[in-house]
Parts: sequence; structure tokens; C-alpha cells
Amino acid sequence: MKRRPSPLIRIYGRMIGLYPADVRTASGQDMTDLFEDLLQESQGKNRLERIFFVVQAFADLLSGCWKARRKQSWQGLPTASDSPPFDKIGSHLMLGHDLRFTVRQLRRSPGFALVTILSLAVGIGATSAIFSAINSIVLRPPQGVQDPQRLVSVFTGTPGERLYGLNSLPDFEEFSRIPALQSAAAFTLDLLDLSREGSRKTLLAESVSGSYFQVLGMRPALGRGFLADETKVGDAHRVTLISHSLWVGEFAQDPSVLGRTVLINEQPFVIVGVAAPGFVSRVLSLKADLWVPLGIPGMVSEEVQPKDFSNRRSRQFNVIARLAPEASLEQAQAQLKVMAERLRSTHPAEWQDESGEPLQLTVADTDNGMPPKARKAAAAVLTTLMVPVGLVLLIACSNVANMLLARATRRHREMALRLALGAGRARLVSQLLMESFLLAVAGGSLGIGIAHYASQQLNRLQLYGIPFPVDIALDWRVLAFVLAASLAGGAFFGLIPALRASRPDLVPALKREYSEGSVRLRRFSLRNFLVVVQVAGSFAMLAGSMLFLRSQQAAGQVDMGFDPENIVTARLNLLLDQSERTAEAKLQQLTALRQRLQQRPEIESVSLAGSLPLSLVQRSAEVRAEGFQPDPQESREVGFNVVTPGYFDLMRISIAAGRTLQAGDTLSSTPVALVNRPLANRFWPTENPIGKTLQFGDSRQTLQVVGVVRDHKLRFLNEEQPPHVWIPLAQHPDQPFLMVLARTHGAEGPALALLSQEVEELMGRPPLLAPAPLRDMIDISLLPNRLASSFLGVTGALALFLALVGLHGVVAYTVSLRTREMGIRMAVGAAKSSVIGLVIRQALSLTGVGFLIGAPLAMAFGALASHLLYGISPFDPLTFGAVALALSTAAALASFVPAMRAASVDPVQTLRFE
Amino acid sequence: MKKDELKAVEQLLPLSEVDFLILLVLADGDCHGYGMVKEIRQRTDGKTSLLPGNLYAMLRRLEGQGLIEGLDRQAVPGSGDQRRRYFRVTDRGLKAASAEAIRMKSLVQQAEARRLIGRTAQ
Repeated sequence: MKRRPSPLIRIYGRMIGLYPADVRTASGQDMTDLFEDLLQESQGKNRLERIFFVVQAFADLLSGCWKARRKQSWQGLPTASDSPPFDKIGSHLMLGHDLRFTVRQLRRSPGFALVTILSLAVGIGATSAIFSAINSIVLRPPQGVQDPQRLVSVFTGTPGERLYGLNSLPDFEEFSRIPALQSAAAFTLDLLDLSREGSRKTLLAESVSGSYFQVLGMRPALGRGFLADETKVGDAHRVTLISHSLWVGEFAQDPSVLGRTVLINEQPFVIVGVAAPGFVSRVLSLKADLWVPLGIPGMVSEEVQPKDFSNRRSRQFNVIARLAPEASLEQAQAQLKVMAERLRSTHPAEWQDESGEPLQLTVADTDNGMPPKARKAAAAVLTTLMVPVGLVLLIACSNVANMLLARATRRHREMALRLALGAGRARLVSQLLMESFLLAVAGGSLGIGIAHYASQQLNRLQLYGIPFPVDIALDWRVLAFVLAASLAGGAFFGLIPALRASRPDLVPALKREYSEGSVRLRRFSLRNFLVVVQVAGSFAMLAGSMLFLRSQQAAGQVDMGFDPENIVTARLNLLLDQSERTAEAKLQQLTALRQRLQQRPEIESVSLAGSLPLSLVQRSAEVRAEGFQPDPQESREVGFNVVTPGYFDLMRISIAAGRTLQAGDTLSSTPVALVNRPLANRFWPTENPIGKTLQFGDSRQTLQVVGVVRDHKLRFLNEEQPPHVWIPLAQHPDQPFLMVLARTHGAEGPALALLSQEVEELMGRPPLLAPAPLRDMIDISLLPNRLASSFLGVTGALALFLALVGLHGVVAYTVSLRTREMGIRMAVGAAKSSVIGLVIRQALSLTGVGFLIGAPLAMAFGALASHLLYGISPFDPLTFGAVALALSTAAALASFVPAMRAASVDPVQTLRFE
Repeated sequence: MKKDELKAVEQLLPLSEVDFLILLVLADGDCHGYGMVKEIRQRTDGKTSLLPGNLYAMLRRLEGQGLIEGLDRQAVPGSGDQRRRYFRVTDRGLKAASAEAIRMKSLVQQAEARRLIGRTAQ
């Protein structure tokens, strides 16, 4: 069977069609073949070289086409045996001539060329970097997957917002058998620790059911996928597939990696295969690095525990399936509907949500590994990112347009002369356009370099030790985007100046009158408009980034209700404990750990907790109270934490009423709980909560409320306090994970090493993930804010730079046109200072108009992002004032140099020239 | 060599470096486009890397000058089902290459006589 050629080869083949028919027949196929051979050869090179090759090859194709067409137009001249070499034919023909002329022109004003190309490169580079992220997540078809358009995802949920919910494993076993699905697999995403040769890395991993790789049609680059007997849920083998990039990065492409043993979450796993290059997770195209079978005993994530495999209510699993050859999505949906009805009748309790609404099954096309909702959300986020960078590009283009306008006006005499000598207007326009396209292409090429660098930086980015989860790459889509952006930019900023410049009033222009007198210094000229656009754009972006910076600052000062300083934490994975010890025995071991740490002089106090406040992982359970009936829409889920008695003292959280947890709260005493004020107010708004009882969790265990905890931040800094429950570890010893918290006497550094060492000594293995200060873990909740402010800060600075270049250019240009006016003013007695004032006022009035447009833009943006802003209004007057002041100062500075030039005009000279 | 044929070949001189290289490569045996690109790259230490548009423009011209001839497409050994068009150097092409080599040799001899060669290499 013949392979379908790659899109690049197809495009190349199509473009051969531009050649004259005889050449096409003679060597069209040969050229495409050669391109394919060279493209294949370039697979072995690095990405930048490959991109370079493709650009070169297409340029070569176009220039060859040009030469061939030109040769044809010269037919009638002697050809065949004595034809002159190609490059000597018709060198005076238009395009080549224009090109050379333009290059000469640009070399004569290198400053102009440099600033223009740099502006464009910055604009195009920033836009392409974000576009390549969009491309990687939303547009690029999955790699290493066969027939991705036949892949679908199945969801269990209720109509509306929660339609695309995850599935339970027992349900999956049943619904995956419908005839419309050829095969199906379940999987979950996890963070796993990979250790080898003393180094540890936390990687994104997928736990997958047996047929996962067959469903996707992934052919491993090396080795094999998982065998059927390796993936029996609950009795799966410790085997793993590693990603191609991990194989390249960590194992130096060593083929003997197969059969080697690595430690994953401290357990030995055998590497059986290397995934196809570019193969990523089916969830949001995240960059997974490890695949392990689902349901290895003792090898489960924080979310998924062994009991979840058989629990129909535990909906934790993604399901991906391949449609049967003849089946359609509609058929699959119809069959799933019947299946859902059957499941609802056989398992009525499990097939409704908390509010009693019946669940249903939905199948959706997952061309790009995302349910429709997630794809929409991802696209929305990325489009939001695209707006600021698009604005930067727009500012860059306006800038270039402005410079070209100024340049065109300066060249009007040359144009007039050429028109008078009989040059066609189309000819002049095409030449001027050639200039802007040349600039655009140069800027675009440099922009690709910038985008490549930026995407490499993004790929290298680590968030708290975890690699950035998206593989951002430049591919032909990005190249096409850059090409389109450059050409559109070229047309945008080149056409109007070109049209204008090619239509001068011949007579005054030839009489040298144009530049001195007859030019109209209109208040609302195109040039001024462009500057206003630039100022408005950079104002909006700077104000946006300031808002985020101020919000970050405000967040640093907020009272969290606890003291996060000088606390170090480490995570214990208790599921790895292979020994069949009782919960009490495990508890004793944990107590021993606590006591040992407590005895160290560096450490003031030690406590254990199920989770940390303001961290990403929070646990919740259904909580019921006697006599309280929630609204049908209201969830019974309440956040909870399992803690040891010293927890509140260690965190410096006081108890508002009742008592704290005590050492006497054990398995043999009454089960107790502490609650916070919002929970008490919800369940018992008018009564004293102390002594009341709660029913906790699926087992509806009765807990007695013994105290009320003072309010403190639990999940987000800007949250309304949600209801929360604290229960003692001694009464709930069976925990999959626990955090050790240690308050130190001094610096946190030595305590981190100590924590690692003590945990390893006593538990027989190091803690899961490296120990870290609590402050760092809390910072994760500020991550979106921080990313937004640095992103807007960078783009805002770029925009400001470009706007200032533009402003300076326009003021300088206007001054040069008004030289005569300045001279006359000074001849009749105007002081230098008043001339300087005049010029700066003009710049400031343009800036002012820019503010009037930019401020509402920034406010609208702030209002949109208000959920990311903490402790600051999106209309913060201080922010807007500061940005306005900074921009005005910058504008005044940018116009100062041309103002000085205007003031140094010699009146005598000017008047004599008259 | 007939006199008028010699004259016709000499009219083509000097050959461009790439033309000369193509004739040299084909003098070693029939070759397809990709083979020529690789061979020329190797012979010039990677300094000359030809791209399809340029290469086939030259091949068409050389063919038009009667220095080489295009053959039918045939399978490339050891590449599965790939079929490529091969080129072969003509007698006239060999003569042109040899005339070019003689021309260059005489130039080199003059340079040697002036002791120019070796000077830059020292």
C-alpha cells in the first residue's frame, strides 16, 4: 500500500503547478521526489535545521519557478545548445530588479531597516510563540496515533455543566461491550516519581487498562505495549513504557533500555517499551512520560485507591474508544443511551447524582484528545493569551506603517520625478510594496528564531519540579502562520503608504515645495491615528500587568489565618507499605517518626496532616447533620482534613470555641470532629455547635463536634470561607497519604535534609516528592496570577518599547516637516523653550488620546480577569494613575530629542532658504 | 574528435563548478537526483548543497546542451518501492568535462609556475 505523503510534500507538489507546463512535465515529479528524499534525510537533524531546510527548499522552488517563467517569456531567443546560463537572462526584468533596488535602498538607511525588522520580529515572534502553544494543544493532530478521527471518549454525567464526567471501572466493563465500539480503554493521569542512579524526577504518567495502546493504534518506537496478562486490574505487573523524549533525554537513546529496571514511586518496574515519538496523553495533549498498567496493587494515586476499582460510585476514569469500522458516532450514542437505561435500572443508587438526578452516558469525538468543553476552555484561555500578543503585533505593524509613511513622504520627489518620466503608478506601488514585503519577510524570519527560542524556554520550564506539561513545537502550521502573519502585516503596513506615495501632486513636489509648505499637518492624520492605537494598546497592557503585580503584592500581605513561615513539609506514601500491618501498627510507626523528629534540636514541633491548606490537593466527603436538609442543588460535599493534635498549635491557628483535638481522642474513645464557623452557621445557624453530631463520609460515621476552629484560608486566597471539618488521625488511621509538617527553630534549609533522612531511616524509603517549605506549596495557589502578571509584564514592556519608537518617529518626522514654521516662529521672537514646549505638547496630546482609548480597554480586561485578582479592584486608580504618569514621562522623553532639534533651527538659514 | 564538434564543446567552457561536478558524478555511473545531491555534498565537504528547483534547472539545461541524458524512471536499489529518474552522461558531456579539466589544469600549472600553490596552505 502506498503511504499518504506528508502535508509538506503535498504542498510542495501543488506548488510545482506554478511552473510552466513543459518544465512541470519534464521534472515536476522528480523534484517532488527529491524534496521527499531530502525531507526524510532532514528527520535526523534538529528542529531548527529542519525548519531552515524547509524554508530554503520552498524559496528554491519559488525562485526556480520564477526563472523558468522568465525564460519562457524570453522564448524566441536562441535556446537549447547555446542558451546562456539562467542567471544571465533578463536581469532587467521587473521583479528581480525591484528586489535589488529595494535591498540597495534599505542598505542606505540601515537604522530604519533595523528598527523596522526588529519591531516586526518582536511582534511576529511573540505571536508565533503563543500560536505554537495553541497549535500544540488544540490544532495539531495527535502523533503516534492511528486514525485519530475514529477515536471517541465516553463520559458519565448529568445534562448541563456536568455532562462530561469521568466513569467508574465497573460501568466501563459493561458499556465498552456495545457493538458500535471496536475497542475501549480506561486510564487515569498521575504524577509518579521516577528514580534511577540516585536522581529523582516527578513525571506525568498515565495508568492505563489493558488495551489502551491497541485502541490508539500506537506502535512503540522500541519494544512492545502491555500484554493482556500484565494488565489484570488488581493484579497487574510492574512493567512500564517510557516516552520517546524521556528515552532520548534520560537514557541517551540506549536500545538496551528494554528489560532494565527503574524505580517508580520506589517500586521496581521493568521497561518493556518506548512510545512512538510525539505520543502524548489523550487528556489535553499533556506530555506524559510514563505509562503503567492500571491497578497494580499498592500503586495508586492520591485520587484513585484500590477500592475504587470495584466501586461503581467511584467515577475517576477517562475512557477512550475506537468506533467499529462501520459504526457512526450517532449509533454509538444511541447504543450508549440504551446501556445507560439498563445501568440505571440495575444500579439505581449508583446511577444518580447527589441530588437524585439520573446519570447518562455521552460519547464525544476526541480528535484532539479533549472533550468539547475542555477544548473550548483551552481554546478560550489560549485565545485570551493571543489578544495581548496580537496587540503587540498590531503595534509593531502600526509602527512600521508609520515609518514607511514618513519615508514615503520623504521620497515623494523621487516618486514625482519617476511619474513625470513616465513610470506607471502600478509600477511604483509594486516597488514600494516590495520594500514592505521584504521587511516583513526579514522580520518574520527573525521572528521564527524568537518563537523557536521562546518555545524552547517554555518547554524547559518547570513548575515546582514538574516539567511543563505541553510539548510546544514549531511545525509547518506555525510556519504557515508566520508566513501569513508576515505577508498580511506587509500588505497592512505597506499598501496605504505605497498608494499614497505614488500619488504626489507633481507640480509642487517637483518644485520642492511639498515638504516645506503645502503639506497638510492635519490633527487627525493616519499617522497620528496609528500612534494613538499604539499608545492605547501599550497602556492597556501595562495597566493589566500592573494590576496583577499589585494583586500579587496584596496577596503577600493578606492574613492567611495561619503562620506559614519556618514550616517544612514532606509527603509520605503509606500505600507503598507492603507489610500487612494493622492500622494501629502503622500509627505507632508514624508516632515514632513524630517523636524522633521532635527530639532534633532544629525542630520546634511536628505534626501530621492529610493535606495542606492552600495547596492543590484538597479532600472532601459527604457530611450530613441531624435535622438539616440541603437544597436539592446544594452538594453535601464538605472539605475535610485528618490531623494530629499538635496541628493547630504548629500552624498557629487558634480555637474559637470548645476544645482542640487531644491525645486522648483515639479509636477507643468517642469519634470527634472540629468544624469551622461557616459549617456551624450552615448546619446550626442559631444554636451552639459544641456537642452536636455529624454523619461523616459514605459510612455515615457519627462524629461529635467538640470545637470550632478560627477562620483561616483553606483553598484559595480570595475565597469565601467554605465549610470544613477536621478529624483526628488516631481515629482515622487508614490514610493513603500524609504530610509531615515540622516547624523549625531557624532556617528551613537544614530541616529539609533532616526530614528526608529521618523519613527514609524510619519508614525504609524516602518521602514521595522532595520535602519543601510550606511557603512554596502555598505559592502554587498564586500561580495563575503570577503567570498572568509576568506574561503581561513582558508583552506590556514590548508594547511600550514599540509605542515609544513609533511616537519618537512621528514627532521627529513632524518636526522635520515643520522646520520652516519653527524658523519663522523663532525669527519673530519665539523662545527656544516655547518651541520645545510646542513639540512636546503635541506628543503629549497624542498620548492623552491614547489614554482615553486604552483606559477603558484595560478596565474591561481587568473586569474579565477579576477572579484572578486578589485584594485589588480592576479599576484601581493608583494603577491607572501610575501607568499614565509613566507613559507620559516616556512620551515626553521620546519627543525631547526631536524637540531640541526643532529648537536649534537657525532662523536665518530657514528664511534664506525661503 | 572532429574539429567542429571540438569547437562546439569549447564554446561551453568554462563550465560552472556545479555543472562540472554533475558531469564528474555521472562519469562514475548513472545516478538519480538525490544521489547527485549526496555525492556533490560529500565531494565538496558539505559546501555545496543543492535543492530540487536549482538542481533540476541545471539538469534540464545540461540535457538541452546534450551533455547528459535522462533515462526512464527505475527502482532505486535497496529502497523498497521507490522509483526515481536516473541520468547518464553523454559522450559530448564527457568531452566537455575533459576539455574543462584540461583548461583548469593549464591554469593550475601557471599558478604552480608562479609558486602560488602551497603558499596559502602553509
